[in-house]
Amino acid sequence: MSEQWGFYFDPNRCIGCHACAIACKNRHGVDEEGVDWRRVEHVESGTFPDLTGTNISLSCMHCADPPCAKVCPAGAIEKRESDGIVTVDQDACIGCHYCGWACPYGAPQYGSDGLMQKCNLCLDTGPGSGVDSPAKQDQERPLKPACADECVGEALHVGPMDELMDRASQKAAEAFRDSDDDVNIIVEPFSGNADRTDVAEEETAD
Amino acid sequence: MDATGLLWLERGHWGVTTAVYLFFAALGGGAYLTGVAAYALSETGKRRSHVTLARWAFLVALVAVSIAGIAILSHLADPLAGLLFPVTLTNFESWITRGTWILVSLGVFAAVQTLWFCFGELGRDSEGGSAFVRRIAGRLGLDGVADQIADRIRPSGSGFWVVAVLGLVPALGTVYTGFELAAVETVPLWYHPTVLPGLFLASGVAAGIATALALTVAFDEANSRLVLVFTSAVGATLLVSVGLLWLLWTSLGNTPAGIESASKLTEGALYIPVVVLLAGIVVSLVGSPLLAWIGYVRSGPVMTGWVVRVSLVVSLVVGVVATFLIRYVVLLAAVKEPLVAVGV
Repeated sequence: MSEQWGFYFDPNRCIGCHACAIACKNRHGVDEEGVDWRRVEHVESGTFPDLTGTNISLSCMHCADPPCAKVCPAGAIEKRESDGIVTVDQDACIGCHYCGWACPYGAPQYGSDGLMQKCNLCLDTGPGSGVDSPAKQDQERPLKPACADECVGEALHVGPMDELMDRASQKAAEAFRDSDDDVNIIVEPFSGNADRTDVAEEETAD
Repeated sequence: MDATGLLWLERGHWGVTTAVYLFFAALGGGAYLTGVAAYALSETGKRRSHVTLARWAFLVALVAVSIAGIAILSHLADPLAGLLFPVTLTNFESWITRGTWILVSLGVFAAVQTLWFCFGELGRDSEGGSAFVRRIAGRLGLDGVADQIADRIRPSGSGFWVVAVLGLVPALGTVYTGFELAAVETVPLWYHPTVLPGLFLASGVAAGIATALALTVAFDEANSRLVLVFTSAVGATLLVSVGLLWLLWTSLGNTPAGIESASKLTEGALYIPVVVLLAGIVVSLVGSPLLAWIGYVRSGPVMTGWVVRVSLVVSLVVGVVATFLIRYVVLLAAVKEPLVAVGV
């Protein structure tokens, strides 16, 4: 693989505003309810008063060895050699929804046409787009992924993984390197709700 | 959202249509197997009762494969692409692609055998319920042509057996219906490649035998000994299915999704189908061979006594319904393993 693109996400900076999800919908013209290429989930653990919660922004992880592509009978899902982005060719998709079961992250989405659509890292706009696009790094005017572009807390970044590693903390970088999962997302360790105030203050100071 | 640090993912990509597809595909395989077995015991067609069972079995196989095909096509967003599978389904790593070829091959073998058993040498003198295809063709004035085609393409002697045995490959290949689910690593209820395929095959064979036998007993003169032999096979395959169901249940595991699936099966909306499933298997497992035995002892060579016959048919049908419910509950109780929010 010549280059692998992916995400960097810092839950400590995510304020759960859903701007990333909405920006994605707008960029790709996905206005159907329940079809979310990117979504923000709030996850809690513990019981009151020891309750901890964080926001998670989720989309396709552009896995190194995507299970969705393995099960797709039509070979409609491709792991691109050029930039590592996983794309879906809707002309080839037969709408069997097998990929929906295979993906551990709920990335494959199905609109009213029943065909699979998902994040293409803004290779192009619209469901099923980007299949024939040049490598992300070779595009003349590459679209900056809308989710990262609109993230108000700068919690989400997109780029080649080696560049994203420069942004990551040592812990996050080690966790990414040591992970058995083949997902292309670097996640900063969540340091608790208290730190969120610090982030907010930092943002205000900026 | 819950307070466990787990993120549950949406599910429900497949429903009843898929259960129907998985069920009829496996039933078709079991019915084809029944047809070959019945004819193998017929002393090359001399035992009419055996040929009748084989005729019903191949008919059932053909109809079941057709229903499975329609079910899966109706499930697809692009049914035309499904019809053009030799061109469109190019990923042979996928069990759907493999399964499509298996199902279509089985359909071809079942169609050929149906032609040979309803027309030509083996079908010309047929009578009773199993001859209904022939009667329909007769009304349309097509029976003569069908007889000619059947006789012309039917190989004699060992050639016939080569075709019959080759057909066993896709018939047993309907085990793929289990692999389609067992390949999904995200669902602990399904991810049992050593159990689920065997369960779907064994219960599919049970359903195939039971359906063909029920039709034979209901609409034709059934040889008592033949019925006893094949109901014993139904009992045996159902017993294997029970063992595999137990293995599946005990190996569900204590992961969050495994616990959730267990809960759905024992407390939720699937509780009643599970009870019906288990009761149906017990009724058919015990009832069918028992009733066949009673019929064998009380009747002569041909099973008589409408009470025993009707009870046997009901018992077999209950078994078939139970084997469908296996797919139904396995599909609808599927829960994906949730994501764990790191550090929460």
